[in-house]
Amino acid sequence: MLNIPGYYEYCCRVNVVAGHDALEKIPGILAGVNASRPMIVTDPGVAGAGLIDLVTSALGNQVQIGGVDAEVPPDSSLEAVRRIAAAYRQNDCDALIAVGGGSVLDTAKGVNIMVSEETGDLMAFSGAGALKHRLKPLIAIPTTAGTGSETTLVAVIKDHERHQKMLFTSYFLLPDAAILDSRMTLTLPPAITAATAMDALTHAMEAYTCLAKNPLSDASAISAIELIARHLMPVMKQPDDRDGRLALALAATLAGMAFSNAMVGMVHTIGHAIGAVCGVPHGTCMAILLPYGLEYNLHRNGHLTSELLLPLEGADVYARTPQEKRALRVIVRVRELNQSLNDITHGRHARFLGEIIDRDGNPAVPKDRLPDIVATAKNDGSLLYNPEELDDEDYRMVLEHAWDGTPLDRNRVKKG
Amino acid sequence: MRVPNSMEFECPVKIHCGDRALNHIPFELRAIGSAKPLVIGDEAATRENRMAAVLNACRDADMTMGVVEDVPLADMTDSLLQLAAIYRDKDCDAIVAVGQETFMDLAKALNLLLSTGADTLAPLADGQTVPRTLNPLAVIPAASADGFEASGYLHFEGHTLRSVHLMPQLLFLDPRATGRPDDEAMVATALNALTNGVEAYFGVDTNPIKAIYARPATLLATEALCVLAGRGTRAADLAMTVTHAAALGGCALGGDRLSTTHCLAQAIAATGKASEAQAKGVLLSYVLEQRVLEGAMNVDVLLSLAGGNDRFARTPEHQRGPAAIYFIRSLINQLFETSDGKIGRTLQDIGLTRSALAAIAKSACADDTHENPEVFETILTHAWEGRPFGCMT
Repeated sequence: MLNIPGYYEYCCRVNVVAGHDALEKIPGILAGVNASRPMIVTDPGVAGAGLIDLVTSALGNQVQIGGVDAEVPPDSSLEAVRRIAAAYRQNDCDALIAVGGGSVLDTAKGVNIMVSEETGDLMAFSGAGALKHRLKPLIAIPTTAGTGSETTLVAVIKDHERHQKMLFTSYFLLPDAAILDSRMTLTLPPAITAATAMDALTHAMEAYTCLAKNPLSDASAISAIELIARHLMPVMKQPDDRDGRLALALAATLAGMAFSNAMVGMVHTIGHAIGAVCGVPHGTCMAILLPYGLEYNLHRNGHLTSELLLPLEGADVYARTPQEKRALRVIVRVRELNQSLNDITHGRHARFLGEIIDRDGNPAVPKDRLPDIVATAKNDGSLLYNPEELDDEDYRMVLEHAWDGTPLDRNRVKKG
Repeated sequence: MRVPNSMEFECPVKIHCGDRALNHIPFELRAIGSAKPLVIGDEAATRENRMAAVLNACRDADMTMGVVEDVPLADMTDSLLQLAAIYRDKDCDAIVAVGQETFMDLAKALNLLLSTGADTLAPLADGQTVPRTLNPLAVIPAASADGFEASGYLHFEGHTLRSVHLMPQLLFLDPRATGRPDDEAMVATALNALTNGVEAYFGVDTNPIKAIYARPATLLATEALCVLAGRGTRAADLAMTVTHAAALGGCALGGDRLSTTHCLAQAIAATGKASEAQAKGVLLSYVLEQRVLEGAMNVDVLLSLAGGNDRFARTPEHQRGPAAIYFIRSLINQLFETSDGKIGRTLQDIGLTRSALAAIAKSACADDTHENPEVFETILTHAWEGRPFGCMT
């Protein structure tokens, strides 16, 4: 039986091209949009890993590359957008290829607004719906299998001079194509593979169990969960598993489609806050907090969480588990997955907040910062779609359990 | 779900589904740069007040528009050229189409003509590529739609074009726009949707992105057919359920090649003995069974879509495929009863003679497939006799 909301919208206009040789399809895609001189946008890490060489090699002599900017900072910046837009114009480019994660793609989207609208004032196009025309062709090539940012219609650009974040929302910001090629994630380090896959799993599970779900986001989420459940541990054991890498990349895109159409919930609310206060990578926060979010909302959406047992553990476990225990089994399974990832990464994949260490080996989330995290979480809009509300005390309670790595005391969850 | 070594899928359609979906038309058109759409509808859209609901939604948002109601379909080329002249004369920048089937083909043809600036569709019918950037097209289908309105297919004056770029950018599914279909029409819509959904999900060209649309299309179509077969309680929004299923099935089909059941059903419909939907109802289970037996398809998951997760999980793995096929076949048998025989269980039931099967198989193979006419004739023979292939045993 489908859960059909009274009203829903679903849209993902991105042409998804996936395969072991998907990069080689780029010349054809560019030709299809009458482009022949793309500008490549990436960051130093991606370039340093040799991934741009893979892309340029796949383009061969069919496409003349107009320029390469490999200096996108970790947080997309207005300065980078202006620099790349100037190079784009100077080199007479006619398309953008963004190779990397969310920051690279956001930067490329910002550049696209500037060069397509022929403007120097990016701010004039901030907010929702300010763009009224198709932009220049944009091809996204994700290099991690997690964020799903290749499917989102949002860009966030930081103006460091004014200490502002500019938000842009428009369907015209969606990339024309997302290229998922197993070669782009083949050398991803184990801890990042684990964290990004758990990020994607969180996108899928929150999209399925939170308030803005719809039949299409559900289908996206179920496929993503099934692919992650089947391929994550084999890839962790054998990192050069090309089929597994491709499946995880596709799972991240599917999860991106799910959450960009159904939104997310408290796992993201708290995770965003931990990231902002303590600088912890997003995927690490998601992996730790996912079982707590499912556990906290259990009285509201346990029937939905229980349905996830089938894609997560398969038919036999689903059939053997009594209906009333399926949701709890999902939560246990997510914790087991975190434990397995912790084991296989020799402790680098953290299981609880108190276990995360920074580059200097110090605790990344000191317990005395939990009140700051609570204060930040309260202002995050993603809670709007969470099935249950949280007040200060609830945030504290969840954070304390997540810090210690102990399951929630369900008696402490206020209902309604 | 299997991940193919190489895949590509695109669905440019933004779906708006549910209560007051029509009220979003002006906002969505403006968001993609349209200020003055041409709203066109067929005769049934006016008669059933579907056109009025769309026009009111646009007027309430102070949207300037051109309007052409009761568009005649007797001479498609004449209607096409007249609408194109009105669109240009009124300086419109998008099309909003309220109707179904042939009328939606007209709307797509109109958009193609206007977007390319051509005087006729002849160059495109000759095999030229459909351009990627067509003008905005919004469609509002009724419950007696076949799902093709959301697909990348365009049938016009004997020509068939297919491309994802022919798909509408906007699709609105609203209870006010479903019309007042009778059970026979809803069964036909649901059978079309079921075929599109199942063949997209389980066909050789399937992929996990296509499954996003195919999965709910199959679930909704099965749910509606069960109700129409008397198995469940009838909800007030059954017409919406079948409209929804058909639209998602069309999105799943996109601009891909038609699959076996489709090709065979089209060839049967061309004989004039039965509708495409009737033919699909009979054929689907036989095609699936033949494909499973030859190892080209695994339909195990169909049992979870049609019969639910619990039934799927408790059925031993090797029995899931046969059980799913049996589920579809028994549903059709039940519809035979509830429709007073209008939905056939066999090709014999729908009026075909055995001697016609070979020609139908040959004709189906001629239409854009790489199939073997002998295989098609074997499927038709089993479906004519109502004789399973044997994967049930």
